[in-house]
Amino acid sequence: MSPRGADPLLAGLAAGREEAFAALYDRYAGRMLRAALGWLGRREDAEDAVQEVFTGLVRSRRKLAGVNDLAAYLFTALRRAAGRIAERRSREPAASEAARQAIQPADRPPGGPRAERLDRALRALSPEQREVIALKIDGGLTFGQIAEVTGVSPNTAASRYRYALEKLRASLPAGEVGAGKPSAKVPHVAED
Amino acid sequence: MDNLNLSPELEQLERELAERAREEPAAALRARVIGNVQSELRQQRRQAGWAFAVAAAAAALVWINLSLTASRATDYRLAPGDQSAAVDSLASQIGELLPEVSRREAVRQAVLLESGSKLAWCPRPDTAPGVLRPFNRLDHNLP
Repeated sequence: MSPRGADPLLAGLAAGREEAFAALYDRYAGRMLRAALGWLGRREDAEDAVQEVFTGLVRSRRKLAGVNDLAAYLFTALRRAAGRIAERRSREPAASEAARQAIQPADRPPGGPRAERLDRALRALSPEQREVIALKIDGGLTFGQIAEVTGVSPNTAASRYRYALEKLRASLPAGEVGAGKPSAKVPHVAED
Repeated sequence: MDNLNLSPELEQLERELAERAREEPAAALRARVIGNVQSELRQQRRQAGWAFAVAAAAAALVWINLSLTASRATDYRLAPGDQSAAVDSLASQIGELLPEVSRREAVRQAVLLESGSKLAWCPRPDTAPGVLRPFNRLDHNLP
């Protein structure tokens, strides 16, 4: 967690410098897009969520100089944007939703049947568990940051994560989990 | 805090989740987002310029209004009985010499004459240093 006001990027954002916003995008857009995909399931919606976050950042840029944890701030904004988009989608008439399905079916993960099963298992999780998986794995946030984003305690975030992993393991075919080549531990993203 | 001491099986599952095909943002998304940011910043700068112009115009209007109010509230007319005895005497003489001149105008001229007589001596620009000429004396040789 960066000390208050110590990140020069925050100062550049607050001052309205375009290159600061570009640097911010390059640093976080990938993680944000993946986390939003975990929430929304569609690339188009996830991209809209990322765009909404950056638009909101520009409009409220003067508040950014006082932000303590930029990653937590961004993903909190992303979470709200994803919620708005999901709500808009739920209000769409069934006919237009069917048309969207025809044009852009829910994004299928590349990687074959195993990846599809993993994705199906993720979708079967509760929204809270799916969210903590998205923030931890895709967003690269710490449990402290996840707690700030979701409004729960770090312990609750950690518990949800563990339960989510256990539920995933239970829902995947026996023997499939751990069948891949062992690799290094999941690197935790360095604190911003 | 972030070290949960997961079982090897869960750790492997964690790795699989992390290593599954990663969606990367398309270049078009970057162009769209940055373009939108630039547009928003430009709009903010324009609004700041307009806000300054409006504030300056408002300040000017307030100033003009105050000036007009002050000038309207000021009576430059000569109030009856405010003049000194010398002015009254002068005004009477002017009235006798020029009966067609109204009393008001006679008083005004008397005030001007009386005021002129009080002005300080001042040198002519082309006069030798130390030589003063009275300001209220007509001088046909003035350039």
